[in-house]
Amino acid sequence: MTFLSNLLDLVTLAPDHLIASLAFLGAVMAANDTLRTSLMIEFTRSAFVHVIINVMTLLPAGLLAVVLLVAAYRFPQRGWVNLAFAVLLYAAWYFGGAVTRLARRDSEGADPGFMFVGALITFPVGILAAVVF
Amino acid sequence: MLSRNVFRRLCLLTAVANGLGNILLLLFFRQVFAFLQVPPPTDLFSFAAVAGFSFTVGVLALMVFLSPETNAPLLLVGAIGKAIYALFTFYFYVFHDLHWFYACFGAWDAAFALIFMLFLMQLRGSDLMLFNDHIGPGATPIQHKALLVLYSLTGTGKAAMERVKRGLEENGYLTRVIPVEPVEQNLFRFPLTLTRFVRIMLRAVFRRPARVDPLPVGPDHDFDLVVVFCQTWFVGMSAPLEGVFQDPANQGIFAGRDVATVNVCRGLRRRSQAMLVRWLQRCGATVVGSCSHVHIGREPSRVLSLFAYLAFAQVGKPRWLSWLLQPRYGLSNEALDALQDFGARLARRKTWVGSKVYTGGLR
Repeated sequence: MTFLSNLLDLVTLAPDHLIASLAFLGAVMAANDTLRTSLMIEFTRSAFVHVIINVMTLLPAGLLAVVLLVAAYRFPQRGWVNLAFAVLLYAAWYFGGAVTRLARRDSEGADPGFMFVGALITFPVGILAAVVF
Repeated sequence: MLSRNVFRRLCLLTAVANGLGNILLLLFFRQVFAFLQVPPPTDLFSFAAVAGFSFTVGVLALMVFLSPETNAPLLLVGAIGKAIYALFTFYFYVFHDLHWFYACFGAWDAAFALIFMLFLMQLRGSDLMLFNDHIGPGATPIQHKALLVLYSLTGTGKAAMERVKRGLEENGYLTRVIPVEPVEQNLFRFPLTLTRFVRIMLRAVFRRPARVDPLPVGPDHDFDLVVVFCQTWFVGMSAPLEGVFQDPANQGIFAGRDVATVNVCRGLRRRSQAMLVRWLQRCGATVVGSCSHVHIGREPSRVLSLFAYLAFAQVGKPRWLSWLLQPRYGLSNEALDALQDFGARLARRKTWVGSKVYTGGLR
């Protein structure tokens, strides 16, 4: 149980472990985009990998929406401030893609277009959670 | 961009740190820990075993340093190993008061997990980078006849290929354009309805093939150059164009010919380009060059303009959003000029055939 409750703290921006939580979620979001960008030219005939890449394109947005929802439920007084941390985590998402330009000049880097689409998922859910809880 | 040599040296750095560092740590850990006031390991066996595994990663990094291309897959193993080590170290540092000395190793490994991934990215598919940079040497005797194959749903591709065609023709090429016709004309037609958009989207995501009518040329055609146009649909090739390659009867059209690719998309071009190039290579084509261009404007205006255009089939609609939308749909004038130049450079490409010494293009 300790491990699971620790993990829950990490993924819900728990005030007691806020910096650790931000570091963990930031790493997850950055790793998602680095991996997604590196998969772009791999397994070009695989439908499975193609689906995975498509899912990864918006996964951080959905993940963060769930994080904001559960975080607001667990710590109702922090619903609004968590929105600001979500913006920070979007920066980590951007970094994960942008850093791939260090390896290849033909890399697209991060995709601000779909990050914007992602923000239309994350932030309405976050605002709703802050209002409701 | 970091060069191959920078990545190699970073691999050497971690090879030395992991290899030599672990041997020294195992030999002198009591003195080092006492000096840094690190509590001694409670489980000596685990401590020694982890040091042993870490040493192995050092050997792995050394192998990559010595021969990166041959040992590139080891980078993936190293990245996974280092990421897992970093993750556990992070967890125990946060929740079990692990000493900062160990956290330093975790941070080091997190950094190198990323470095390994980036180096792997650089080593994989490096030919695609070259295709984007240069027009390479052809393997077909130059006849000054080019075949242009395209499928364009909204007309952007047609406009793009028109400029490639102009570039070729201005440099002495005769051209023939072959539009790809999907069998399911009712599905793949513009303007879209919401239902058809969702169907096309789901099929693109799950890579459901789209059958196309037979192309009106055979494998024995006399075109020395084939230029293939491809749009990106949900990160991959557009289904009708992929349908061309999925039909074995069409593959001979590209076999043994010089082929160039043109990709146009909203923003994600690499996967559709890679898919197209790999299809061509499987067909036995000599890929001489690739170019890709993204739609006019910056994000998020570009993505909004795309969805608005697909929904309303008109520029500037819906009106309430027009302040965020691009005043035109498709490519900028600069991109269109670049495509014409691409056509011109294709027309002037060198060939290996009939010459023992190649003087231009790829080195």
